[in-house]
Amino acid sequence: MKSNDQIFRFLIDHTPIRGQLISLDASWQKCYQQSDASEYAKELLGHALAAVTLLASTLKIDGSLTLQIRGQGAIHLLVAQATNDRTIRGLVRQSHEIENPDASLQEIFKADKIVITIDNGKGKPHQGIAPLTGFSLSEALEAYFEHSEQLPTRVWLASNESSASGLLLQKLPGELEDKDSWNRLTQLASTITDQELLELDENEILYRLFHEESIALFDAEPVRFQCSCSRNKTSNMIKSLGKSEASDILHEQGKIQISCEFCNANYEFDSVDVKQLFESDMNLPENYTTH
Amino acid sequence: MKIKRTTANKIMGQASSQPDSCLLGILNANEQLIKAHTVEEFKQLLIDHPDSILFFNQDPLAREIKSSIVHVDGQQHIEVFQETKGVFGLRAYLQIGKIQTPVTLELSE
Repeated sequence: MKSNDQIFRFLIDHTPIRGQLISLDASWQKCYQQSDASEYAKELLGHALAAVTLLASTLKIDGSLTLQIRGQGAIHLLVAQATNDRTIRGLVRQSHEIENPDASLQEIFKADKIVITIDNGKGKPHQGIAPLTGFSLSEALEAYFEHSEQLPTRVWLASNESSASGLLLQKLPGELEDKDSWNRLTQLASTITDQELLELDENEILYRLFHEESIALFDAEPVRFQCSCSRNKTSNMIKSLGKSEASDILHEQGKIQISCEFCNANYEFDSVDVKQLFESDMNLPENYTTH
Repeated sequence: MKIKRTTANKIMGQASSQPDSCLLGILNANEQLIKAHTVEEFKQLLIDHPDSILFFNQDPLAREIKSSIVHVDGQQHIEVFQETKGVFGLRAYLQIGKIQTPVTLELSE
């Protein structure tokens, strides 16, 4: 049976090649349901979430890895983030209909760069920028790996309304005993279909692709959706608006509403809440009473 | 870049109320002004609000905090400038690579 919301690491014996398989289910559903973008855009978001989770777990980071494509096209923003705790969140924004879904990502986003930011929580985050090339996110990421002179890496991604899945192969530093192994294994992995990636469990996928190889499959690690927004954080944002701005919004709208862009959580603050935040007198709307 | 006229007025209002101090923050997707006072606050705002427009004045601290952040390609910026003391204006930029390119700031009603 297919394991969901889990990531599996594996090593191919006698080669310096490692791999990872991921299947997102409930965590993907959270992101999928919160987006009002087209199916195409949501499919890209699924690919991006599977990809960042795979990439984050290949790196020893104590923070987050964020993939971002921003442009002026029909899809103008794609953000996917994974943390070292294997939590994910993401969003996709679409401003108008995609005229040609077969166009390249560069045309669809009207952007020419893909940005990957690694934030270890200390100091300036590391940002890798590569040209946005190809017709799929896997192609764009593979170009990113080539461009940034990192370890040779291949990724295969698939998503639909219920799952987002991915497979990653990476060649670690070291001599290949079998000189052809990287080429052979990536060719074999390239035969996987989206349907297989989305529907088969990890053992079945590895068997179908690499049944002539000896593989060490490690225990699964859970992945979950988690947004870092909170009422407390939102309170601090309102404080940063300043009393005057907060008071103006209360007068205009009766309450202050701030929505999280990632999880759509809606935080509402009425005049009493706002007054407590600032802990001093404000010129509140007359129709509001305080405790 | 297009923002509401009322939002532009709010930014100018903030700028005129603190002409000689750091003004830095974001306009979130609902065009609410959220200010930051430290690098950490600013960094967190940009992470939590990827679809936002960044605004800043010409105060040295605002510039220092802003320059300590790695700006994502396509990030929109609004600069509050003051070429004549007490008279404020807004300029819009789009981040393209390492360069902030001036773009037209349109105001909607």
